[in-house]
Amino acid sequence: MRSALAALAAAALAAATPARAFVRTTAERTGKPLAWRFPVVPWHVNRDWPATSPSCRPTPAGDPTLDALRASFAQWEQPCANLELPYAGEVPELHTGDGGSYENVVVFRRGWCSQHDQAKLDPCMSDPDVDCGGIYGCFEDSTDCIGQTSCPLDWGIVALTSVLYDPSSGRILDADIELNGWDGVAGNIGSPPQHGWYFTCYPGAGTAQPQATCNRYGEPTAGQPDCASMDLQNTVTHEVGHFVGLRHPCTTDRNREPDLPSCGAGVPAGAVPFADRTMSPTTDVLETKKRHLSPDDLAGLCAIYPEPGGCGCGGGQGAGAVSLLAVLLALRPRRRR
Amino acid sequence: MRRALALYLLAAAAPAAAATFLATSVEEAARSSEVVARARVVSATARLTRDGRRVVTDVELAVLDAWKGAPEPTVRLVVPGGSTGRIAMWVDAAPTFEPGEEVVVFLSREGAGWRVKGLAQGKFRVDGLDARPALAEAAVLPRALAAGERAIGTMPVAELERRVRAAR
Ligand SMILES: [Zn+2]
Repeated sequence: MRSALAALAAAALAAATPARAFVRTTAERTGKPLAWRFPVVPWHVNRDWPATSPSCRPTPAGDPTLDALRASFAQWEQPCANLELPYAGEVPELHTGDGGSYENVVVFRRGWCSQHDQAKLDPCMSDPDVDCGGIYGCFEDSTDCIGQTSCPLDWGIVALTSVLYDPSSGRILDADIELNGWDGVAGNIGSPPQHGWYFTCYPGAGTAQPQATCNRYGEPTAGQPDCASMDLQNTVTHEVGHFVGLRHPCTTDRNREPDLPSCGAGVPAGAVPFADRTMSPTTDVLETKKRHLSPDDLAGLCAIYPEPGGCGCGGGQGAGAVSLLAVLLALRPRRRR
Repeated sequence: MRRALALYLLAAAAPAAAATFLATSVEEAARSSEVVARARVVSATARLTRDGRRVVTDVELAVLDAWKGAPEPTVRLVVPGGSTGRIAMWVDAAPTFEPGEEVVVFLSREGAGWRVKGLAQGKFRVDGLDARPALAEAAVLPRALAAGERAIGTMPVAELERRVRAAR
């Protein structure tokens, strides 16, 4: 019994030491880890997104897009964490950044501005002081994407989360998520996608999403009755991890992020493989596993926002494994006084 | 200069960002850029945008070698983020420039100046014999690339130059 406990404890320690269970985002220069100051953080959505895939389209039975967004935020509301992320309704806001009010917004960009009839002719495209996205609701790309059918560097951006914070304290003041969705133009979905990312919204439990990858915007048509593409809930759940102050746990390029382990590296026994974590930096179409937090993502959340009187897992890494170790040591029979 | 600014920043707010990028080859990046140049950073000066919502940084580059296009000897570009005396904005997916730094940049014309293509994907830092992309907190979406092409990533400067010059 004792040796089994010792072995378990050793395994927990091994899991805690070399692998980071999670990594927090820190403030530039001051190094303060980021966190919301108050435990209730409302968010809004700009629901003005007329061109959705069929699976995201509202029906009398419900609104799959809003359901996916709510489910994504709800994943980050957990019993171990003192954090609530209530949905606060729709807003018409198109701007991100400091608009004078600290309103957290999820906004759907409708395609690339270079493909937008008005935006592409507007001086905002060549004026670095003006974001065309705040005017036309598109995602501002380069002027040389105008008239192109492929613009890989610019059109590779799927989603962008911005977090406004006070660097002296690490307090987050505002966070916004931009989702670069479809602009409504039919046709083939290229790679990169000329008319924005084709988000799909298939519910979770019990309803498997189609295994066919969408190859045309506006399906079902053309002999492809049902298909999936970039899963909205999968994408947003990851972005909300940044919204609450988490960073990726590993890097795809150790040269540029030498402080993080390589995503290709193995993890110690007991730790969740990097690829299976919500905060993993790689994703793909059809992927849905980021919808649900892994134990390591959960450890990060609960360390940043510990329940009052809870475990107080304030550590920057390995808190899940460390608390497991603490439990094991407490269980160990005491023979001496 | 930057240190003095940092002192002001203590009471200011700074955004961070995270992005998801599509894997892109060097050749694709070169084909879709008007100019690809190896250059040295002369200056980087942050300021508020006219609407006061965001901070951008004006960057001046001295071109050492044009691998594609015919840029002027001095190139001026604007990148999101930076720090002014009052406020700082850190855009994680955006490239940053330090005076004296040697870089390779993929550029498109924007009004009288230039912009870096695809946020951080369009900037490499030259570090000895290697060129390192400035992708920051970015998720990379795997994607099949054309045969013989190489995804943006750390590679020898000589290979980067050869691939840019050969891209058609
Ligand atoms: Zn991310």
